[in-house]
Amino acid sequence: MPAGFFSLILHAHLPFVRHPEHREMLEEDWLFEAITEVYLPLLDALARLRSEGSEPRLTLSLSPTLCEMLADDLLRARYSLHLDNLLALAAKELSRTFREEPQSHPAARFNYENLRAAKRLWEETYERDLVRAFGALRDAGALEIITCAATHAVLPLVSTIEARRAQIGVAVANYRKHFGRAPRGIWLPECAYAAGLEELIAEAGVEYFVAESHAVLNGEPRPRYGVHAPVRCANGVAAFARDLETGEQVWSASVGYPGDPAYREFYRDLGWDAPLEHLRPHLHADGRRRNLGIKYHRVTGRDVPLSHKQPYDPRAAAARARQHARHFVDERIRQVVRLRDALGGRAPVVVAPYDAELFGHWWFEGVQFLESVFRLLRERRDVIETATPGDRLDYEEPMQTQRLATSSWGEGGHFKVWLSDENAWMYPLQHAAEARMTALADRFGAAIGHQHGETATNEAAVDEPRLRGLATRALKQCARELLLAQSSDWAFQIHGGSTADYAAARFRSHVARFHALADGLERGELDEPLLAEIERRDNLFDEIDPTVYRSRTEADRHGV
Amino acid sequence: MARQLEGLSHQPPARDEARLLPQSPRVLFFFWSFARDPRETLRRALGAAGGRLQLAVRLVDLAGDEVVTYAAAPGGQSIWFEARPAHAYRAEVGFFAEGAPFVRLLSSNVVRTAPDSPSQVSDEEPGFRTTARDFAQMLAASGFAEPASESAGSTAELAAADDSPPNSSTLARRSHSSFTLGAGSRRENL
Repeated sequence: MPAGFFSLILHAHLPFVRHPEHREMLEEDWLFEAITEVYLPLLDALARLRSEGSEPRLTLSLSPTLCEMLADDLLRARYSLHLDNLLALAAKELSRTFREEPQSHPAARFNYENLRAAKRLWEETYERDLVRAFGALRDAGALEIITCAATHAVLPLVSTIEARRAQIGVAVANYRKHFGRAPRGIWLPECAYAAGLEELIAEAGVEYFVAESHAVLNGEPRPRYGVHAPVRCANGVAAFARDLETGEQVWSASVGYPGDPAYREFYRDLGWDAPLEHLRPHLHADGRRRNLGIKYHRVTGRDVPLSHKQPYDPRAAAARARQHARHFVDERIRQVVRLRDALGGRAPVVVAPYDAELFGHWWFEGVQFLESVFRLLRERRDVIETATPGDRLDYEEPMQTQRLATSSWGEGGHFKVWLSDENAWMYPLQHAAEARMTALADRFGAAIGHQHGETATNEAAVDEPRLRGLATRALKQCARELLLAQSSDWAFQIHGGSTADYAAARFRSHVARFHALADGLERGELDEPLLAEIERRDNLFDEIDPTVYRSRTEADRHGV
Repeated sequence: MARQLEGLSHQPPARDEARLLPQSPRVLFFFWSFARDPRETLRRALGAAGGRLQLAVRLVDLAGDEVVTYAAAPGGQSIWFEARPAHAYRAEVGFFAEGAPFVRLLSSNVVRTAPDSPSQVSDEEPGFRTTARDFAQMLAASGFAEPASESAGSTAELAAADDSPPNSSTLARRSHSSFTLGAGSRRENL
């Protein structure tokens, strides 16, 4: 029996960004960067570990919006073009740096080789299907994949139980579509928990969720084992709470690993450093500079100005990542031994959740670090064993029952990031749409139910089959627009100010599209070309069933 | 079609709504709207007699019936309230005048603010029972601060506030963006 268990959870999420109406769009780069820097390297590392006989037992949360984008033909084609463009630039950089900037040449060669590897993985190994690739790793036992709310809404700020239910229900249905079975666990967006969510989680057949530390530490009664054992809500759903020590070692800007001087500097990018004429063929049509993900400098020091950053040495950085991995694993061993004593002999579970995009994107060497961590953990599995939350539930150890505290892992521990002076204006609009969606589902959902074999009642507002088909499409698209409006990413970006204009425009557009379609439904005057165009753009969740928004009494009447 | 889609906008229809949202254990956000201007309704009903009544919002602490009333800013439809952790609240908007009962027009949902410190209640199940001292030692082993004060007996109480476990607010997440709170108005007392 090991002294303790280590449960690494990576939460991979991006908001649904897809703009078929433009030839290219800066915000689509978020997905492309994540594929190149995070998801492909992570898949490659996990495959390598498996080939060595290691089963990392990593838990990976893949948000439904991310799964939909990874499966989207347009975005996959655009990513291929993006990758080819970067490769062409990286090839040019080989000769330019050799001639003009020899101190950057090793990094240029490193970038080029990385991009070639990404191309090979993308086109040949995974045939552009990363969802299937992750699913294969899950089926092989390397990882546990869990879901997340459909569009990453902060559920405590969603006003109706129906809308909360829909965020979870749509997510579970989407997971089934991509992975062929139901998820065991769910990542609550931003780990935002409020009382009652466990009822909806249980309704959806999900066994556990991931919570922030003080959800459990401030829960009632006080937790015997702190955050180092899962707890049960009264209805049996389990909660796994975040360990702080592992968080600080990685997240902290001052003492965390990513700030090491040897690591690649994120904020020096070729897209801003190189002459514009040299870059022009590789930029978007607007010719504006942007991050390209090709970087030649290292952190050098915390207070070193960007202009004084030193050349990046990939080998030194890789060695540093291995050293940090050794340190991390040694600390985990010390931690579980210490905790086991403090917990009266019970083997602690150290739950370490992170945003996946930290590893590889914000912290370039992050995936190398993770690969070394899992390799080292395997060597020390006599003392510390990697385990997913599902693994721990299967162990059937007694769990304390608790009422968890309202919480999130956002700044301040609650909701001030998503409900602040900058973004509070969103909620009256969002809540009005949530209420209206349930009214629409109650009134028009029977038409869909009739198509599915339910007994039609007098709620069917459309008689003619063609119109009923149109109404069904409109109702489904209303659901999609509401879900997209509820993305916590918009409020986050507006609060942070980074891409506030884009985020505000996205929110407003989805609210407007929702109401345009809802007005058409209620008047019995649907604009089919408008509906088709909205469907073309916001095409996620083709499996969506909008009757999930029905109020419970309506659902009961129709036997749902 | 693209232009039609880009030009879509929505003017929400006026409706009666009052909604209370938790920002943190100590801050609540209340917004409201009316289907019809209540002042107009008041004028038609009471004429000049209604002049001394002003639109006000109030926060009701359901535990102790504590009520704090504020003037609703002209044209305002939202307000931030200060609150206490682990209390249940309801917000209301209505008409107020000194010496007269509050005329409630709209009432919000109930919000229970989160606790901001560990519970002082131990589990009664033997396997999960823990004294305050043992709990504090477990917290210390987990990397949290020791309680500031603790009596020797088994009824020792954990200090609140300073001994709250550090959460992700102490960590730099998403280090590429800096979070700033807006200047934001808080309440103005009547």
